[in-house]
Amino acid sequence: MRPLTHEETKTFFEKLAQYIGKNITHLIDRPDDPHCFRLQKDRVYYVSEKAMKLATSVARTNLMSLGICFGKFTKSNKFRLHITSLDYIAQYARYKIWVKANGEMPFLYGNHVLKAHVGRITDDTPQHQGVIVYSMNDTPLGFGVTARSTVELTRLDPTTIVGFHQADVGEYLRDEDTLF
Amino acid sequence: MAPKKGSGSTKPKVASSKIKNIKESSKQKKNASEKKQLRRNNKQDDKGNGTKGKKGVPVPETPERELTEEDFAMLDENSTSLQFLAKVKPDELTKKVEKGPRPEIYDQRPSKEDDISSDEGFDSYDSDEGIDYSNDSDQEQDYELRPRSISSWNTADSNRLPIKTKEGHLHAVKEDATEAKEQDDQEEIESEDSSEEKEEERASEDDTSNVPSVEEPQIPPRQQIQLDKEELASFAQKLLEEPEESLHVFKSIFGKFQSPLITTKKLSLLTALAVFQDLIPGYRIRPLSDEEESTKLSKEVAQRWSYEQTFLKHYMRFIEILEFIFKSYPSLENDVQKSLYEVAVRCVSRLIEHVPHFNYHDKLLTLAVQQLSHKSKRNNFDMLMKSLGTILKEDNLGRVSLDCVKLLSKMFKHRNYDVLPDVYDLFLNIQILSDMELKDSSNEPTKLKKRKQDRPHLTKKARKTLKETKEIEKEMKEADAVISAEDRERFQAEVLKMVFLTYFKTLQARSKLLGNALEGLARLSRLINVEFFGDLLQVLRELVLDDNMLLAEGKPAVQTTREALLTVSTAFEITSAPGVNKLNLDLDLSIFIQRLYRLILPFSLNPDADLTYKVNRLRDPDAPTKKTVVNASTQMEMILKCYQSFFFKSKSVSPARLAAFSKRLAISSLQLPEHSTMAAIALLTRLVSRYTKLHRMFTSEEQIGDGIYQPFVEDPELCKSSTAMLYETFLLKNHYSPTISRSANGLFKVSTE
Repeated sequence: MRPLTHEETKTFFEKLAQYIGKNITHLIDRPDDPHCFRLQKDRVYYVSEKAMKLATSVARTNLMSLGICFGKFTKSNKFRLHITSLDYIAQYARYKIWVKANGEMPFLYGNHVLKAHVGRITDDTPQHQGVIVYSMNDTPLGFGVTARSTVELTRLDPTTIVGFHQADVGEYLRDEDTLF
Repeated sequence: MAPKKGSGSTKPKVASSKIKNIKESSKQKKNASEKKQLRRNNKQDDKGNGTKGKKGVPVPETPERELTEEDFAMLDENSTSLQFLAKVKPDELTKKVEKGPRPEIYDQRPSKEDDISSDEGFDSYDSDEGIDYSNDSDQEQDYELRPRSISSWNTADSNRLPIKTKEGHLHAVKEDATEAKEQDDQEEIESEDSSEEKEEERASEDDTSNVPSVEEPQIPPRQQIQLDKEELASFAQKLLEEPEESLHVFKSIFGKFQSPLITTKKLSLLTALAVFQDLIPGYRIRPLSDEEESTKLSKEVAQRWSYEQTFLKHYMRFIEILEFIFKSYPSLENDVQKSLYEVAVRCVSRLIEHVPHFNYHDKLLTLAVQQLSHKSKRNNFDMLMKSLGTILKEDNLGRVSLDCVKLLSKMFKHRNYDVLPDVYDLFLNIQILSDMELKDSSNEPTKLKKRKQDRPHLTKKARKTLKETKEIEKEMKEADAVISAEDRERFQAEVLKMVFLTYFKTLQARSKLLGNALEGLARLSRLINVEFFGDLLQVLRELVLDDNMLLAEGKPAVQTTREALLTVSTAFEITSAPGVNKLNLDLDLSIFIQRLYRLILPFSLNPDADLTYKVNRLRDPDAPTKKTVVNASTQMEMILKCYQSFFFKSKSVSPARLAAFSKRLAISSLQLPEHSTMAAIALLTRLVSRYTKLHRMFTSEEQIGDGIYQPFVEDPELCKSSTAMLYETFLLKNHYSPTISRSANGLFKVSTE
């Protein structure tokens, strides 16, 4: 376990900022329970400082995971956000898409979000913006990237793709083996 | 004829040979053929440049010939007169003559005493000694440019005919110079002031002595005013009795306006106003086209038309006088002169109100709008405002509203939207938009153009008659003067467009009148076209974002609470407008929601949160007296509206937001004044009864949620509101007002069901 280097932090925060914008500060500067990010075997973990201090006493080979895994760095040093980070980025999300009941299941199977399934969308969402996908009860279902901006959305026909799927909670079942 | 010499040699010759030559030359004159040769020789000389001296005249070449006896005889006869030939040097003759220096006398201007007009005046120029004539250009010399002045020409100073005296002599009457000037002045005065002319002429005739300025005999002002009053009254009566005959009386009324006394001026204006109000017909006078003027008319019609045209001219003159007064306002010094301005304003406002159908109404409106455009209120401002408000309210067709709105918008634009708020709020008086509905253009069935084959076949004659009947029908419709629905809709659309444009530009210009613009927009929100809606929302968003940035940095927001509230509520109203449902899209206005959330706590500390004229509260004696605006909504009402549109009208609400807003509302209800607290409790009751999730905020037994409630975090999502408790109801039970404690009890009961 080691803290992130400068370049790694930069890449990681850039990726996060796509989804939560400037609320990253809320993740780090928590007054009640300070958390931090640590790197173990190319995976980034979000862990409270108390737990982190305890984890230093575990040998590197024996340490499986700590805190919440946000994602991992690929071989080419790009950061990939995992579904396990959903709880936290859902809290601080800037742009959201709410999906109607008929659109939940297709999304959970890994399909993209169509306009017919969109129940609500945050105003002034630009194109290619990271969004969190919610059901109509405000339970987070996953995240993705917008294909069209809100302004354009009004003129499209119902079968066009509005959001590209990147991760959804169905992956917990599908990718059970590879998730950790 | 210059003596001809074969070469340019200057050898002196014997006189006899000269004479010989001369004799030859005199003979040659008669010889035509020789002449031609001369000419040829001349030309040859020119080209050959043979005989030309340096500055000499080209000498023609002629062959020498012998002197005959006839020549000698001639010489002997005229020997005395031909003596000069002995002195003549041929070279000198061919030499070019140089002019001497220009005589000074040419450049002298003739003085007045020098009467050069006599015919022999130019003899003095004959002394040519040492004269330089080098200036021999073809231009006119100075002496030629001087005008000829012949004293005898100036005798007719007076236009009067000569008088025969007692003795029988005729002599011309000499007028004084001053009297002549007076005559000129009189000619320059406009024809309208005929009365003044008469007075001056009378005075000048009375004055036999040379008095430079003409003065009336001094009448004390009071008497003068009395006299004027009587005169004006008689004028007015004459006009009202027989308008056709006495239109020239208007000229005398306007003449009264020229008097130096201000009261007289005011009286003349008021008389004219009264007369016009009575005489203006109920229809609009149409300016005559040329062909109409030239056709033969019956006597009555011609009389009527000429009456109308002259009437119009006098009306125009009246308006010009008013315009003149308005223009000269900056130069008015004391109150007395300003009262003249007030009277002029009154005239304009009355005319606007009473005769909106008549000609020149737009000109009057222009004048009125100009007077309203100044930064400070001028006298009689309220009168103008009232009259404009009335015409906007009472306008049924919309044409007058359109003119008014156009002029006002132009004026606002010109002033960069920095006008008095009262003037801006004139837009709120527009009545014609009140029953307008948003036309859904897609719902109308598209008219397919009839195919050529489907059109009914008409012969040429039939088509022509159809066209003519259509034209006649059109004219008949005009005569009916029924307010057609189409026209009305057209005017409505135009007015709406102009009003929206003005509001939009005001918002973009971030002027001080943001609040007024937003309020106007909120009223017209149901009429906003879907296309405008996107841009409008964008502008509103920018407004909010600017403030958000400032607040995040800890600086106070630029907008007041009221303006921010208006922004947010307008945004909500726009999105919930009926036309937007067509989009089938539910927009989540998170930015505006955040702004609203931020607003609530500072708003609750404002003691004037619900200050209207209805509140029975003693006024703060130290506060500056603010005029209560009756139709503006209070801040509390606006917050209620926002809550309404956000929580009750939209389809789904996130629980975090719901809890956060309820908690904040409860906190603020402890600080607000009485009526607002009442309203807040009522709202909470409705929220709780609608959303059962809120019940858990009243009991602390079920523990869900993460972390502690953060009351000062300005984001509704991040404040961990799920752990908040609404303990305020208990405190409100002990409120001093019995109604509030009763409603708090009610709320408590609802929450525990």
